[in-house]
Amino acid sequence: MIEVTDLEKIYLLGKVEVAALRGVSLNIQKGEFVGIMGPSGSGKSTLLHQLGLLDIPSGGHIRIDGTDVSQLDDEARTRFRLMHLGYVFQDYALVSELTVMENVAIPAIMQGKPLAECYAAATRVLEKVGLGKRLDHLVFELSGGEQQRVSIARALVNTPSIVFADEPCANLDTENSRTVLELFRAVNRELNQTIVMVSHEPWHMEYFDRIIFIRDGVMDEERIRDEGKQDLVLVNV
Amino acid sequence: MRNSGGWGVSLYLAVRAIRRGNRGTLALTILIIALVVVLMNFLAMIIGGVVTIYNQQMIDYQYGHVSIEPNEKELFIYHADTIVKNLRRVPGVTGVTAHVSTGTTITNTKNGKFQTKALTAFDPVDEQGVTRYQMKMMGGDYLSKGDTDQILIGTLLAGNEDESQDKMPSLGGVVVGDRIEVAYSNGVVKSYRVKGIYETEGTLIDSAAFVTRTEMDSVMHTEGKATEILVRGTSADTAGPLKYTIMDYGVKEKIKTWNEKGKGILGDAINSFSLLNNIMTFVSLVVASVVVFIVTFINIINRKKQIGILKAIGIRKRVIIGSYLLQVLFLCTCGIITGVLILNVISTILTVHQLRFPMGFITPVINYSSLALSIVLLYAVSVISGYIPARQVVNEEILDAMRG
Repeated sequence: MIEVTDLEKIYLLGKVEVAALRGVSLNIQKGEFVGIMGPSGSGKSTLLHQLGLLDIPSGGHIRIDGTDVSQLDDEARTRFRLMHLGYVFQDYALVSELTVMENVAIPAIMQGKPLAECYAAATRVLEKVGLGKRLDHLVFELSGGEQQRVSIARALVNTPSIVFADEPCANLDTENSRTVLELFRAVNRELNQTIVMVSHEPWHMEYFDRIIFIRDGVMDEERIRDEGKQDLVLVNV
Repeated sequence: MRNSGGWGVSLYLAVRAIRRGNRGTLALTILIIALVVVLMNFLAMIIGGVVTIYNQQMIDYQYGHVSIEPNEKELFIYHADTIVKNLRRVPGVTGVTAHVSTGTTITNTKNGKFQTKALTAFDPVDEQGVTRYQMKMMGGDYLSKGDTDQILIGTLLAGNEDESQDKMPSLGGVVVGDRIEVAYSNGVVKSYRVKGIYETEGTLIDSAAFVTRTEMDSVMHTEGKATEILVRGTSADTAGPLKYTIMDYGVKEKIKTWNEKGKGILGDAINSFSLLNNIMTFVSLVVASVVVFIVTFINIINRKKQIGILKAIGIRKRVIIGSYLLQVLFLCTCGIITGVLILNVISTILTVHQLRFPMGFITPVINYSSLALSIVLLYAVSVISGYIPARQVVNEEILDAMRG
């Protein structure tokens, strides 16, 4: 599903080059719930941004569903994001002038589907995340946890191949964080939805099938959950 | 496979941004654009009123619809009586009058003040078919056909005893019944009783003096001659065709429409007004473009993060730019409609409470072709001013935009 080879990202800070990613290679399979973890500044969000086509890597290759997305131009990347990917951001990233339903429907509308169909899809997914009764509310009328659930609904509305979540619980309390994580796990299990999520909270590990640890821009270690077991087993250093 | 949700999504986003955006900013922007529309057209409206009144005065008191002048190097139109008779048979001619003008010195015998003026003679009956002096008498009576001892003068020539109240050099307060002396170019000096004083509000017109043809012919021996023949047609608009009809009837003298005659006198004034108007239009357009630019820029900067989000979830750049352009077009359209309404209200108010100009009370005239041009220009600068900041922000990297 996702094949990453020698991924590099170098930022220029003035005249100084800072290597945020230094040759990361990994594979993610369909239906996996993968956590990317690591200390602050390790490059985990940078990795997610490259995988999610939100940024352009300095080197290496990313193949998603067989497409070498590193070769796509800006227009094609935009279209790829729309058609194949879903996003959940730390600060919810909702459009303030749209209602809950409109926020969720907008990626479907952009795909050119009839409006009624888009609203029906948005309603279905909002009911799934428990916001079926708040369709016509504006986002500022919702709590942080509810806004993040709207964001998850928006990510899911086009039934994407992969959902990328960048520290989705960073602004939420434990209760709301758990609700969001439970939601992710439900979607992952019921819909076989591939999810790649960045987190720095150790207790989030219990939700992931696999965890990729990043340190100083390289893959530090990888842990995978044994079939039917609670423990995560170290598979790679 | 192209995405079919382009302008539709732009419209979807624009409608919601307008509906749920800041109402105060929206109203203020519309008002500013409306005032720009008013600013761009107000002077043109006043100029339109001035031109209309000038044109009407030229037709009613100076040239009729068509005027016939002597050929080059000729002082008179000879056989003017025959030409006048022929002109009366021309279809579309409603009145014809022959004028004879000569240089004179007019003196107020009461105070010795004098003015050098062209004295014009006409047949009072014929004149009524072409000009409107008889309707503008502010004192005394209009000339009669047989008058030989009487003179008709304009209010500015009559003047005031208190010189400071005069708009131009005058005879220093002549009233109906006073006697004034006219010294003709052939040396004859005659005393006339002021039979009537007229007031048209036209500066040049109200400083003239008139006697009957009978009187002029007896002094200057101008029987059968004319220095100009004025013709009145059915309307000002048909003066052009009427000129060619008159030519077809065999009139060989110089024939000019009121419009051609007026160009020289009014042209320079109109050009100066037009220059002012163009400067004002330019400044207004700059103001409009700066306002739209600032409003769009602030709007976009405030929503920079939102633009980043939209890009991240796969909304194309042109769709986002399109939504801002549609918002600008909406603001512009509302501003233009409001501006045109304000302009009409101002026009109505100034029609009821007319402004007094040196040539009289003017009724503002909205020039719809220049209004249309200003609307087109306003749309153009608004779209450009909206497009530039939208494009600038939309082209930023997604993550930079999302950081706000």
